[in-house]
Formats: sequence, C-alpha cells, structure tokens
Amino acid sequence: MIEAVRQHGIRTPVLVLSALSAVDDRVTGLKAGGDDYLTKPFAMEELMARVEALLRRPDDTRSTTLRVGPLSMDLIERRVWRDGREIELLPREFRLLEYLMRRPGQVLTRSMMLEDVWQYRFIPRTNLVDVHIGKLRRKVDAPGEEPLIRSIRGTGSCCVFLTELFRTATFRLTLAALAAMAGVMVMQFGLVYTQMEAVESRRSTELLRGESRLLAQMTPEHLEYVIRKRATDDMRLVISSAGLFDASHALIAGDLHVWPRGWWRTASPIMWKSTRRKGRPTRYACWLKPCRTGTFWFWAAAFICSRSKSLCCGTQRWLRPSRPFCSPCCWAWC
Amino acid sequence: MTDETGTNTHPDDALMALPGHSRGVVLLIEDDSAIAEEIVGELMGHGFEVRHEETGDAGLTSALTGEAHVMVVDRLLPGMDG
Repeated sequence: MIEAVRQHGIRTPVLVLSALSAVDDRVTGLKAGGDDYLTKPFAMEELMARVEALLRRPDDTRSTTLRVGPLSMDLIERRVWRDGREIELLPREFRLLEYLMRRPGQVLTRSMMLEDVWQYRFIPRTNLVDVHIGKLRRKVDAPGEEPLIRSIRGTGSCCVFLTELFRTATFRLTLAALAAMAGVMVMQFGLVYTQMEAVESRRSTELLRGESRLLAQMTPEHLEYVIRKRATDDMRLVISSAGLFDASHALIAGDLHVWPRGWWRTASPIMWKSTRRKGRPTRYACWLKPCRTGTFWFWAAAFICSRSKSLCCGTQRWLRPSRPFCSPCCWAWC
Repeated sequence: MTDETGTNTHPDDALMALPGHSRGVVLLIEDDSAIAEEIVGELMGHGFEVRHEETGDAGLTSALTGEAHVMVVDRLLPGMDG
C-alpha cells in the first residue's frame, strides 16, 4: 500500500506498525517507503513521540522532489504528477517544466528559457519556446483543470500559481484591507465631489445675480465698451494661439473701426483689419503696415536677431514667437 | 512537563487539545479495532485530528486525498498489505 501511495507522488511520512519484528520485515517496510517502524506491542507514549517526530520533519526531506501547487516532480526518477495523475513528458519538456517549477510565480522570458533550457548563447528568431510551452501546457493542464502555466503577452511564458497565493490567510486579509480602503476613498471622493458641485452651483448663481445687477446699472456706452473689450481680449487669445507671435503687444484695431490717431507710429509692424458683412461672422485679416523703408529694415533685423541665440537683445520680448520659427507666414514676412 | 496523572505531555498540549485547534491530521490504517480505538483516543487526546480506516484499499483512497500529515499504517491489513 505504501508503495502505491509513493507512486502517486504523495510524500506523507508513514509510521509502520507491525507484529513482525524480524529485521528483514523492517527493512521491507522502510524500503517500500516507510519513514519509521514500530513493533507491537508498543507503549502509547512511544507512538506519540514517533508521530510527533515525523511531524517535525520538514515537508519534503528529499530535495530530489519539487512541489508547486498540485504539481510534484521526482528529479531522480524523472516523473511528474498532478494531483496523483502522472504526466508523460519528453526530456526537453521535463527540463522546461523543472525550470518553471524552480521559479514559481516568476515571469520568465523566452530568451531566459532559450539560454537556460536550450543552452543557446544567442537569441534566434524562433517560436521554439512557444511550441514547447504549448505542448507542456496541454499536458499539464488537462481539460477542466485550473491552468497553471500562464503567458503574459509580449514577455514570454511563466508559471504563475495565484491559487496558492489566494489560499493564504495573510493574502486574503491584505486584499480585504485594500478593498476596504478603496471603498472609503471612493466614498470620500464622492462626498467631496458633491460638496464641490454644490459650492460651484451656489457661486455661479451668485455671480449671475451680481452681474445682472451690474449690467442694469451700466450706461449703454459703458456696456458697449465692455463688450468690445471682451471681444478684443478674445481676439488676442485667438491670434496668440494661432501661433504667429505673441499677440499681447499687437494692436488690434479690427473692432475699433476707426484707426487710432498716429497708428503708423505704433510699435507693431502688423496691422489688423476686420471686415463685417451683414449676416456673416466678422473676418479678421492682417498685413504689414506701410511704413518707411528704414522702419521696415529695423523690424526685419530685430526679427532675425530675436531668433538667433547669439544676439539676444531687448527686441526678443517684443517678438517672442509662441511657436518655433517654422510658420510660412514668418518666412514670407522675412 | 508532568501533569497530575504522571504522564509526559507536550507543553502546548493543553492549548492544542482545545476544540478547534488541530496539531495535524493523522491517518490511521489499522484493522484491529481494540488497538485502533486506543490509538485514536490517545492521538485525539494529544490534539491530533484522526482519520481511521480499517482496510488497505480504503486507506489508500484516503491517503491519496493528501489530507494527512502523518500516516500510521499496520503492516498486515485485509485487502491490501500495508
């Protein structure tokens, strides 16, 4: 019976009780796979002491046996069992499984396996490892059984035994604690979010009320000014995001209809003009301001200087490009 | 450690013998019911959980479940020899 148990890969320590005290019989019992022998009649204390001694032994005193989850491997007899079912493996598959079982839970790449199992010192472009892992997986994981060998896309194959991890109380406790913490965080976030929303809606209501009161107090001229100012600011934003240059210094005259007095003396060489037609959105156009040749060359030189790192002058602040010097507009301008 | 009855006991026995605490599962395969009963009583008194089988075949089936931490097997058994 002990032999049959051992053949199934079960290494539970066995204490053999026998009425036969002949040396031959003891040897047979121990050789069959027994770990200890006790002849009848015996004292109960001795039996207890021997049982406790067997329990004190490490789980597997034979280092020639590997055990990972339901898999057990006898390295000397070169046999593998899964839950008592023997798995027939070819020599290469056996070495591959041994390699995986010695590193449970680790991610093993194809190149690692090629180097250590196939002893390749170069990495050929081949699916050799995948083919062997596929064969091994079909043998180890019978239909309906929990898969033990898992692949991670892009890395290679690995032996992951998450089931073992899940069984430990510590892991379950940690998971429960993490889940509880996540729950608390979600609840807190929800609370904060609701409060924020409430505050926001209250503030916007107040703002609207305040603004309408302000608007009611304004004169029509003031109102027009405010609207124009806002439109101009928006225009500046649009121009600067279009990437031509920093528009904060540009004169935006489009909305004013009347060019300001002495506009040719303004700093910027660019002129903005808006065209308005009934029922169509206002269009803005820009061109170089007609100026004296000297002024033009001054600006051209300043523009070039602003883009050469060696010549950092004060003009850089005026013509700081919000994008690198790549726009065809800028080239044309130069 | 010696208690009132004068028998040697493990220091942890008092704790381990409490219900709910098992020091391990012992699979006993013994056909002689008198001896088996005695051993089962003793093992349970020491805080072990005991599974008892009387025949070799039943014992083998029980052993293959892998539950037991230690097996105590009689050499001569009905059905299958120990």
